[in-house]
Amino acid sequence: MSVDIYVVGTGITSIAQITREAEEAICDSQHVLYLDPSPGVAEWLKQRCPVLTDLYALGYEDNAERRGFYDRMAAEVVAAALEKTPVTLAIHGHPRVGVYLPQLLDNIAVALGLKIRTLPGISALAALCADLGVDPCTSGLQSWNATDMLLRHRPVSADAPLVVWSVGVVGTSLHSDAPSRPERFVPLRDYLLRNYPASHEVTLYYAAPHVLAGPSIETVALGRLHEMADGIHRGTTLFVPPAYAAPICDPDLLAALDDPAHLESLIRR
Amino acid sequence: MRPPVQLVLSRAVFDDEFRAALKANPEVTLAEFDLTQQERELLKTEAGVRELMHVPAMVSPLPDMESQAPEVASAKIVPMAELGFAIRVTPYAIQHADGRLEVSADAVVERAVLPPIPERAPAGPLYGHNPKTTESQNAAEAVRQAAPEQRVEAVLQLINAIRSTDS
Repeated sequence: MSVDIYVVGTGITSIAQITREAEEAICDSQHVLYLDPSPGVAEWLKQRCPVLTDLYALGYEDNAERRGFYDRMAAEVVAAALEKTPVTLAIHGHPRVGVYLPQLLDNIAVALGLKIRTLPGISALAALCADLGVDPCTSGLQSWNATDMLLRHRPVSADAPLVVWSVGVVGTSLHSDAPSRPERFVPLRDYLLRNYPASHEVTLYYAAPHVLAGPSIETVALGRLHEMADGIHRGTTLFVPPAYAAPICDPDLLAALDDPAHLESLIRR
Repeated sequence: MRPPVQLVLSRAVFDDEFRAALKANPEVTLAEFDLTQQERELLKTEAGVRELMHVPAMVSPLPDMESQAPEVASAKIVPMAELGFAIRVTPYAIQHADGRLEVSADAVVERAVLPPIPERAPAGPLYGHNPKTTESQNAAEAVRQAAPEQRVEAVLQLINAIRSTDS
C-alpha cells in the first residue's frame, strides 16, 4: 500500500525510543515535519531526511486557542504531502495518545483522498506503567483528560487506577506558558475528593525526557494537590491509585476458575 | 426502634448526581459507613434525606446475609435502578446480638446505568464532523487546484469547512 503521510511516534526519551519501523518511514520520506523538542531529535532526523520542518517553530502565542496551532500544523503537513510523497509527521511519544493533530489529519486525508499510516511510539502511558509499576491489564485503568473530566463529569471509580492527563493545562483551551496559580487545581482536587479521601496519596508524574534524566515522581495527599502548583506543568500527568480493592461480585465464577470441568465446558477438544 | 435500611451508601457514589437522585426519593432510608460529617449534613440539607444511619466498617465474612444481616440484605430490593443506580452488597457484614450492624467497605451503591450518551458525543476524528459533505468536497477541490504557495491557506479553509458541517 502506498502511503502519503506516515504519522510516527518518536518516543519519550529523546531518540532512544524511536522504533526501527519509524526510522524506516523517516528514511523513506521526502519531507519530515516534527513536533519534538527533545535534545538530539532534530539532528537525528536531519541525518535521515534532509528536508525537515520544526512545527513548533510555527509558534505558540499566549492567550491564543491551541486548536489554531494544530490547524496550521496540519495544513503544513498536508501541503507538504501534496508537494511530494511520502512525508512523515513525527510526534513526541505515541502519535495517537493525547495528540489532536493526527485526528485532524484523518479528516483532511479523507477529503483529499490521501493515505495515512500510523506507526506507534512509546507513549507517556507506557513510561508511566514502567516507572510506577502499573499494569492496566490486571488492575484495570481509568484514563481521562483533566479538563474533559471536569467538563463532562466523567465517572471515576475508586477501585481502579486512574490516570488524569494534561493536568497542567486544565481549565482552558487557550495557550499560556505562565505558571499556574494553586487555585487552578482546586476544581480538579474537589472533583476527585468526591471519590477519594483527602489523605489519599496521588502521584504527579513526568516521564524522563532524556536518557540521562530520571522521571519526575512527586507524591502528595489529594487534599493538598493544589499546593503543588509550582511543580505542575504542561507535561504533568496525575496518577491516582485505587482507594480500595474491588470486591468479588460473582462467587460462582470465582469458584469455577480453578475447576477443570468448567474449563472443559469452555473449550473444544 | 431504628428503621430498616433500604440503601447502604458509601462515598464512592457521593456526587451531585446521586444526591439529586436521592432528593427525588426522600423516603429512602439510608445507611452509610464512610461519609464525613460534612457529607452527612449535605445529604440531609441538600438531598433532603431524613434518616441516615451510620454503620461502622469492618470486614467479617457473612455466608448468609439474608438471615444474619437482614437490614443490609433488604437493601437489595430497593428499586434504585430507575434512578440510574444499583446496589451491590457483598457478603461482608454482620449483625451483633446487641443489634449493632457492622458492614464492610464492600457494601456500596454503584451506578447501574451510564448517563445517556449525548447526540453529539465525540465519535471519531473531529468529533463527528464530516469530511464528505458538499462544502468539504468543494474546499478539498480548491486545495487540489491551489498553487503550492497557496496550499496552506487552502487546507485551513478545508479544515473550517469540515468543522462547520456536522455529520
